[in-house]
Amino acid sequence: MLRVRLCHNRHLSQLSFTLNGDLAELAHMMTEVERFCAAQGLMGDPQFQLTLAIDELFTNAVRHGGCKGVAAAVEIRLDAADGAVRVEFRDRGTPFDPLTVPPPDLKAPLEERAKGGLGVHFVRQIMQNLQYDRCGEWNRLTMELPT
Amino acid sequence: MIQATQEIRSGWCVVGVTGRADGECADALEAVLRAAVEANAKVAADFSALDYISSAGIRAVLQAARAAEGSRREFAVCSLSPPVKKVFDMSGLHHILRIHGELPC
Repeated sequence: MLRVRLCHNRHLSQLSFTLNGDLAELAHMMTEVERFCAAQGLMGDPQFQLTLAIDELFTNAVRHGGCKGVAAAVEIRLDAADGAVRVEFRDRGTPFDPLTVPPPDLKAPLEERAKGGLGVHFVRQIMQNLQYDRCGEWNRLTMELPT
Repeated sequence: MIQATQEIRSGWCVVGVTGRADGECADALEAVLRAAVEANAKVAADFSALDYISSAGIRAVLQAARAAEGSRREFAVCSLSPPVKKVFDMSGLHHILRIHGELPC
């Protein structure tokens, strides 16, 4: 199930949606991000980057964060403001601050590189002004994509 | 959704991959590429019709490359679209994988 709210006025546009803890929801997420980006004239690179960052956070939450099988496990809110898209990503998983993950060694040999950490690395490459806090039962990460 | 085709061209097994290589499809992508590596001495993954890749898809490619390295097969990643190439660039894998602008055959 996917609940969506889309608001428009002259200066601000916002989209919120909820995802269940199931990787099959990735397709819904991509459709929503595409819709938001189309409304904002942010097709192409910004849409790809926004999709990738949210994908990595969602996939981590489902695979490693205890969100698998949880209904309405993740809430995502996108706000377009002047020059940036602000993203709020919240999940009901176990407490986890992705900003504490050490960067992967990108020059390590093939054998070493199969380990994790690449998804969070992508998020940190793409997004700016990342901030994490734990709000009750929610992990909350806010960040911005400059446009 | 991910779809794959296979054909033999000039001694290379060319695996054409179409769709999205994300967390939902990564296992399928890894299985297709590893099967090709096990059955052929030279494998080229043609990603010209791959629209999207995440770290899960990158990891699938990495596992196929490791399998190839372990069994002394050739494995080349070819024809990346510009957005997919940017993800490979961010991953640093262009340092350790054979990435070709075009198919080797």
